Amino acid sequence: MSHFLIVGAALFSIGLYTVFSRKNAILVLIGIEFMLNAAILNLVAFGRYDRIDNEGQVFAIFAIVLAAATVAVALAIIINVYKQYKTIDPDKIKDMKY
Amino acid sequence: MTAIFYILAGIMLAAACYVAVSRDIARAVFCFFGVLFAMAGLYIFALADFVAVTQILVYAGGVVVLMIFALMLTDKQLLENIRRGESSGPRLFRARALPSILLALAVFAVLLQVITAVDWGNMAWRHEAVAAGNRITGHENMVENVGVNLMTRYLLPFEVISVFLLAALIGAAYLARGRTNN
Repeated sequence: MSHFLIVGAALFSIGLYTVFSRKNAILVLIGIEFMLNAAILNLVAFGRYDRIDNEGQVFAIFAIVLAAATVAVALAIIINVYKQYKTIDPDKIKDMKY
Repeated sequence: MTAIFYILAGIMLAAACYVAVSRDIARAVFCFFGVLFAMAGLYIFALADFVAVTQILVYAGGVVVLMIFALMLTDKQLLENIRRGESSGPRLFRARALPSILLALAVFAVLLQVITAVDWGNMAWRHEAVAAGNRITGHENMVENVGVNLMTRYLLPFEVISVFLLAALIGAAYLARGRTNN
């Protein structure tokens, strides 16, 4: 049990580092995916103790679907930002309105 | 069995570290693919086979392909480094990455502290679940059970999330379309 949680915590920290240190919006998005996956790993690890209702596993599936929707919308936004600014470095994008 | 768990966890964490420090974005995305596959293996070790298959279908089949497409649409120099065979190894330490390293380590320390402080073997809910036979042992057909639960007990969240997914995909298609000049 605690092994899953430690692996999840490590993955969450790596995702956090990726989000804060990368200079490419797509890699920032990958860092967010790491954090989501760490959370899903915890859901699944605890879901082992719910054979009848499967709460952990069912909500892990919902979280995966939510992450997929997030990625679709975020990538569309990133492509729009690239069209506007010709860069996807989050540090170089200064104004929101155009 | 536990050896395989540690091998999978090691592959996963190593690939995640490579994604975090690599300068080559294309390789980073392919390592992300490896992370997701290793995660699916870990889900199987948590006896959640349906979640593992969903992970491979949705993440490895959909999300990674989307990311590679977005990368190709935005980064013109993406594949140049690989084609030139340039040695672009990861730089492990950069001075301006120090705050993020410290923050990540601090978060990890707090999480580790919480995980080690709790005595997971003696939690009341765990004893209740084991006593009631509510623990997954790996001999049941969990896919059937998950499917029945999804369509009865969790029908409302299921329908809500399907409408949400439709809305998100229509929104993404609307955002990503070419802007017409009229």
